[in-house]
Amino acid sequence: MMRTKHGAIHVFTWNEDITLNNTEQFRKAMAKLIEEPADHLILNMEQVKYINSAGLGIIADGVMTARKQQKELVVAGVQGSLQEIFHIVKFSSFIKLFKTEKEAIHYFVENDNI
Amino acid sequence: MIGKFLEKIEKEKGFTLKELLQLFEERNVLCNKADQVYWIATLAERRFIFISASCEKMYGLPPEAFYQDAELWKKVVYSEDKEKLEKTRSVLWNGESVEQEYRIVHQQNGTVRWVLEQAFPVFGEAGNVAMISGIITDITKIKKMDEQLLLAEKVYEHTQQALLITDAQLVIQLVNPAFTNITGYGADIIGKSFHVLCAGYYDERFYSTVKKTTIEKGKWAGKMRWRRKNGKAYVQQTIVTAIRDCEGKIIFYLFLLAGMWPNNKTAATVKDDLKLAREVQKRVLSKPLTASRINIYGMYIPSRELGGDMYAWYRIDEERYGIFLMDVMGQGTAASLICMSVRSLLNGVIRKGIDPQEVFGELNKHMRQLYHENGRMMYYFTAIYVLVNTKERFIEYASAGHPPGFLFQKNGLVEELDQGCAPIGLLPHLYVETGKLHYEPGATLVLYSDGAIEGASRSVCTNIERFREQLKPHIHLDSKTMIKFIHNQFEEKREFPDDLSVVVAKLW
Repeated sequence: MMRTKHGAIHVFTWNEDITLNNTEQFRKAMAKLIEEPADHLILNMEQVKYINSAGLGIIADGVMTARKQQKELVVAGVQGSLQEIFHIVKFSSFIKLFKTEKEAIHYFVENDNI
Repeated sequence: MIGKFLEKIEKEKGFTLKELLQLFEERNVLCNKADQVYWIATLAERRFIFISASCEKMYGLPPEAFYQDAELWKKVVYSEDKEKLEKTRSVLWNGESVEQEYRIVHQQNGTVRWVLEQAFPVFGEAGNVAMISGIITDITKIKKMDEQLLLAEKVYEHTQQALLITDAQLVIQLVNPAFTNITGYGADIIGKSFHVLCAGYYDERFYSTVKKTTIEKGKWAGKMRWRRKNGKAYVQQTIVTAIRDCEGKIIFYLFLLAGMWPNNKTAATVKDDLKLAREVQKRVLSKPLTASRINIYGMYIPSRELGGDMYAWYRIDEERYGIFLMDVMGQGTAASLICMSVRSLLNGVIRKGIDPQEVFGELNKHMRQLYHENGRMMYYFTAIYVLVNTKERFIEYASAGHPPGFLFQKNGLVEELDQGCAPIGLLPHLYVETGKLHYEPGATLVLYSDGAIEGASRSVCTNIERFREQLKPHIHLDSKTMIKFIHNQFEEKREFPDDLSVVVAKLW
C-alpha cells in the first residue's frame, strides 16, 4: 500500500490481488482514501491481477460514497486480467477507468485545471 | 480442678484468672493474635471473664465492650446466622463442646467475615462444668478459597471443553466429564502418567518439546494424537498451558482440547435444516420446458450446502419466453436468502416488465430497498436475462455484470451476450444497454454462472473462451444431453470453489 499526493490529487496504490484473505483490509484502506481531504482520488491497481466479488463491491461502493461527498474516485492501472474483470462487470458504465496513473492524473488536470 | 488452681494462684500470687490470662496473652501463650480470639465465660451468668485483646481486630470492638455488655456477642453476629448461633449456644450452655462456622460483622468497617468458633466446657472441682472457653478463628480467606474451588470444580464438571491437568512430571491429576466423554477415561486415569493417553504415538522428545515451548512461550498449541480407552486414535487441536506457583515454579500443566465438542444433536438438527433448505432451493429452479420452438434445461451444483446461484424461466405469452440466471456475491445462507427473495419477485417482474431494462430496473429497486443498510452496499448480484421471441426468432438480452452467455448459431458463429449494465444492487440507478440478436432454427443459447469459468488462468477471457470451446463440439446435442455432458465434466473435476449453474436453450 502506498499513498502519494500530486497537488490536489490523492493517489492510493494497492499492490496485491484482492481475495478473501485481505478483503477487510482493502475495505478499510478504501474508507480511509475516501476520507482524505481531497476531491480527486485515484485508486492505482497496476499490480493487481485478480479481484473477488467483494472487492468489486467495495470499489463500487467507494465510488458512490465519494460521489455523494462531491468527490471523484477513479481507478488507474486497469490492465490485463483486471481490465477483463472490470469489463465483464461493466464498471466502466459508472467508473472512470485508466490504464495508467499518469492518464488518471491527466484526466483530473485537464478537467479541473488543477 | 480449675477451682483449686484459681485458689492457688490467687493465694500465692494475688492473681485473678483474668489477670493470668492477660499475662498469658501478652506472652503469646494463648492464641495467634493475628486471626484468633480466645475467650472464657462463666456458665451461671454467661458473662465473659476474659476475651483476648485481638477481638478489637476481629470485631472492631475492645474487650471492655464485651465485659460491659453481656449480650454484645449476639449483636456482632451477621443477621442471617443469628438464629443458627442461638441454637448452638443453648447446647454450649449445657456443657457440651461446639464447633461451628458463622459470619460476623466488623463493627468499625461493616465488613462481613467468616469465623470458626470452637467452644468447650471448663470443668470445676467435682467434674462439673464451671466455665465455657472458646477460640474464634477468622476463616474468611479459607472460605473464599473453598468457594473458588467449588466454582472451579463446577466449571470443570460442566464445561463442554475437554480438559486434563497433570503435575509438573506429567502425572495426571484431574480430568473433567467432557474429557471422559471423548476418551472413555475417567477417575481411573488419575495418578497415571500422561504418556498412557498418547501411547505409541510420541516419544520423550515430543513431550520435552511441548514442555520447553510451554515454559518459554507460555503455551504450546498444535494437533495432538490421543488414544481413547478403547484403543482408537483421535486427533484434536490441543493447547497446553503451564500453571505456576507464586514463586514461578511450574506445578501443573493444563491440557485443553480445543473447540467445543460438537453437540451431536444440535449438529444433526442444523444439518437437517440445511438439507431441507438446499432441497427448497433446488425446487424453486425451473423445471425443463419443452415447446414447439424452444426447449430449456438447467443444472445447478452448489459448492456448499447453500449457494447463491439461481435460474428460472417463464412463458410470457405464446411467442415469448423470459430466461433468467443470477449469481449473488458470496455464498452460503445469506446468498441463498437473496436468491429466494429475488425468486419470489421474479415471476411478477418478468411478466409485468417483460423487457430487460424494466426487469433489471425493478430488481435493482428491490435490492436497494432490502439490502442497503444506511445507504451502504451490503449485497449485490450479477444476472443475465434473455427475452426470446420464438416467432420472430430473435433474443433481446441484458447482462448485469454477468459473464457473457453464448448464442451458438446454426452456421457455426458464436455470439457473446455482453451488453448490459453494472451488477444489480450496487448503484442507485441502473442504465441498462440491451442487445438484440437474431437466430436461425437450430441455434443454442447457453447461460452460466462464473463457477463455469473459474480455472487455471487468471484471465477471465481465456477461461470464458475455454468454456466456449469446450461446449462447441456438443451443441448439436439436445439441451438435456448437453447439460448432462457439462454436469459430468464438472463433476469429474469437482474442485471448483464456486457454485455452478448452467442453462441451455435450444431454439428452433
